[in-house]
Amino acid sequence: MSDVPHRNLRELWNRGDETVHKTMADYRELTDKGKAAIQSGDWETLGQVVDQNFALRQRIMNIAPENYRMVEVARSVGASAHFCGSGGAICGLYRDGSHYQKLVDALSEIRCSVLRPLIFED
Amino acid sequence: MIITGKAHARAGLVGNPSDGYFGKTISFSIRNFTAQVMLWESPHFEIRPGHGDLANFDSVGEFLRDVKLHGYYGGMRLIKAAVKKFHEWCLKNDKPLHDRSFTISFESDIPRLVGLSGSSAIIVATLRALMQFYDVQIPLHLLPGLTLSVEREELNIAAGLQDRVIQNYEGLVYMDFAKELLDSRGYGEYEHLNPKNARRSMSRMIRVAPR
Repeated sequence: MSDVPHRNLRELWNRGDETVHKTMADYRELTDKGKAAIQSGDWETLGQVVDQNFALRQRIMNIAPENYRMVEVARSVGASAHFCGSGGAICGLYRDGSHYQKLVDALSEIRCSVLRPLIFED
Repeated sequence: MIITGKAHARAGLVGNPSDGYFGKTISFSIRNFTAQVMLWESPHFEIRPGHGDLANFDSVGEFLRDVKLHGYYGGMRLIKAAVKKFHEWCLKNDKPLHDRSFTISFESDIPRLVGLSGSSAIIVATLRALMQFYDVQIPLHLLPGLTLSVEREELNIAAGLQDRVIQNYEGLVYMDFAKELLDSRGYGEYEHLNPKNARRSMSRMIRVAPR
């Protein structure tokens, strides 16, 4: 289920909350790091960027336990993970076929299904 | 002739949720899931109800199942608001529209209520079909803002530009929502990324929690 914490975040932002403003600036920097990683094909760094993104979210928003659990389970088998949107689905990177299978197995234990997204039009 | 408009689910890869706070983000399309509208000319105007819009069920149990799967809001309000905003945009931008009517129906296999942007996919698909029906081209960089205005101004849905950018641009997109850009021209800087060995190396997964 989607978390609904955006209203509170907006209030903090409007009030000029230092942590929130600093975190948004950090997101800008982190996204540039992600862009460079994608352009050079550095998937390990991109995975770290995804994990750092989740850390930034934790700094400024409450994470629902069931959503946190998905991220935790994905990480327990060595994948990166964070929210696709506002919670309910997560995305991240895996290394190879056997790693993918580990993810499928681990996540199926908490009744989550895994899929490989088709990103580009063929 | 039946016109179709499609849009896909999406995921934010980096930067989410900074898009509403002058941040930067990278998002990608999830073409595995699609919202599609079908539109054809008809003597009257009609929106065909879809999942979540229905008022007739075989039993109370069926109704409860529908609510659990689709919530209280279906796609009808999204299509109503999209048609309204599209007309307002065209009026404001001096694009005269013909006065023929149409029937529009929709379907979507984007999982609901898990943050995959299923609602805005229906809006994007509707706008695409409307542009065809009226033969109006809205510049790509303006479509995310129009999509967002449907949700924010008409339906009071809290949302940011990011999802509307990726659903209109598609693929893998880097976005800069710098304050200077948004204040001066109302939209950010959007750039398609083409990773090295994209199809092989960009192995990613998303997981969808069952409800």
